[in-house]
Amino acid sequence: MAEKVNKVLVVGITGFLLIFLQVFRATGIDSQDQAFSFVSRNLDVLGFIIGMMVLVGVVRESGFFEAIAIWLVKKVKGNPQILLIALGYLALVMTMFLSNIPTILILTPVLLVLINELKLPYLPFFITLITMANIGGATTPISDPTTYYQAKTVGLSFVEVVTNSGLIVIILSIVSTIYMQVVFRKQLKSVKVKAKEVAAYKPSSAIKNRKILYMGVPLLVITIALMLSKDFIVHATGISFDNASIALFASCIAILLFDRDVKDIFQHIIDWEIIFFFMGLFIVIGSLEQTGVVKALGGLLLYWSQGNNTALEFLVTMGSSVLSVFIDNVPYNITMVSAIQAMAKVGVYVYPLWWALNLGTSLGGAGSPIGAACNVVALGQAEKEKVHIKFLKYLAYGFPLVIINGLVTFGVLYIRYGLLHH
Amino acid sequence: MLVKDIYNKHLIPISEDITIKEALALMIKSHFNGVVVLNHKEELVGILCIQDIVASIVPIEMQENVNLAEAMYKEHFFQDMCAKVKNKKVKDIMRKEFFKVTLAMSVMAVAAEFLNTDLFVFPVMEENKVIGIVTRSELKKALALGMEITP
Repeated sequence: MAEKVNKVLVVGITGFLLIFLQVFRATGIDSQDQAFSFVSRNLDVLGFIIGMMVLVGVVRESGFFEAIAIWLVKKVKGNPQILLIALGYLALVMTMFLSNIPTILILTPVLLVLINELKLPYLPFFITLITMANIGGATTPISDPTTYYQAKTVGLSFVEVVTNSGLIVIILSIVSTIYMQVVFRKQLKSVKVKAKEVAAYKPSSAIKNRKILYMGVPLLVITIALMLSKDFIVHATGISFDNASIALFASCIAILLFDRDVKDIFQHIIDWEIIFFFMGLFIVIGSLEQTGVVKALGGLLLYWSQGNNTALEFLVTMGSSVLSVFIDNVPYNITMVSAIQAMAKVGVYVYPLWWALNLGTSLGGAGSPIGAACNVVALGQAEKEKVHIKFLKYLAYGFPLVIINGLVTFGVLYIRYGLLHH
Repeated sequence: MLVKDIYNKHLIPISEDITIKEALALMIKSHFNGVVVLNHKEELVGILCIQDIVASIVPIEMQENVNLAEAMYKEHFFQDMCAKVKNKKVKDIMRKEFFKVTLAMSVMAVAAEFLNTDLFVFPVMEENKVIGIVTRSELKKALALGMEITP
């Protein structure tokens, strides 16, 4: 059912029904105005997502990232085992700065050519690409819209996210890489790629637009650097701005510099489905806050954990990981942010829970073909090339890794905030 | 000017069950870049043209990104892909959605449709039977007639 009716329509219709049913009506405030205020207080999140979509969408036309991927393939001489590690880490690093959907859109075509030309086993490569792109989303606030939403809503700084989530992502990437090498060892060893087969690859030929390469890539780097140093600049100069302004300004500059058609940007580069999904979710989840459902959910989590912090951390880490395998992690994450905030209001120590939630939803997204939007994009592209990955087969490899990564995350959080904190 | 004034009655129909290699050999021999495909009941079921054969050997990601095709070209890959595709059946790659024309249709309508598609072969139909084709050669003929160019 969820697949048949578009999720934007589901949240849209639900949101408007809630408005008509006067769920948002507060003393002296109109139901619609109150509902829309849940969107307007998140304009920074929406602006950031749109700005990055445009900037990354324009810059990826340079072909720079494809060139790096092809250069890596040549560098490792096509060796399947090393290539799996190299492409996995490339996906991880790209996701940190570009977020996971653009990363998947850039790397999947390269991977499909490799599978076609070198007869590489597709399952290990697709699962690795998807896993790294998902866990990479938890590294920094700009790695994934949900991480950004969480950091922004809770007030977590860039450095805090990187030194908490980011460090654990590095550990998870190592665990995931070892897992892939172990479970796919036979498939990877069964393929012999001769170095001369990839020797003729020409990474520089992947460059499509040199103007974008020379000016767009630096623009992207400056934009990301500004986002990283935003807190410092604001503190040192007193000039206040946020990521939405940076990303939207940079995207306007990119459109102007590269003479792009604004209508084309609006029609083809901005993914309005995601934007409207977020807007609808802000309203629907706002209604859950307004009606006390979120508070009750927070209470339920406290009840299940018997008020024990360690049990609560375990519940949020593993619950988020497992649930994100099967349900859309965006609404889940936004609901849980509110629920954890409700717990914080009653004096519960929630600081580790932010990382448990962020990492749990990110790593859980990699567990099944439908766990995250980028998985659907990657496997959809594979289908076009008649590379079909069965749901259960993916789950058989993906789900155990989610459990392992979930336990590792809990373990690290427990040591850091359970043992060391006390 | 109508289709009946320019269409080609010389038809090389092929069966949907022959291989792509056999179909290509027939196209080379007949000097046609596109042919009509019939089923065992002699009914028109598709069109096969050079672009369709090319599309079946060029991976989609290379079609969508020409630079990738150049940057990641492995020696003999084109030949490997030809070998992979040559024994497939025509029905596996033929075009099943295509524009059909009638004798009474204006050349202007056919010309307009030419601009909308990469398929340069339109079957001419009469009472549900294919009786000829209009290709770029026939359109060239129509242009020559329109501009009063004598051969």
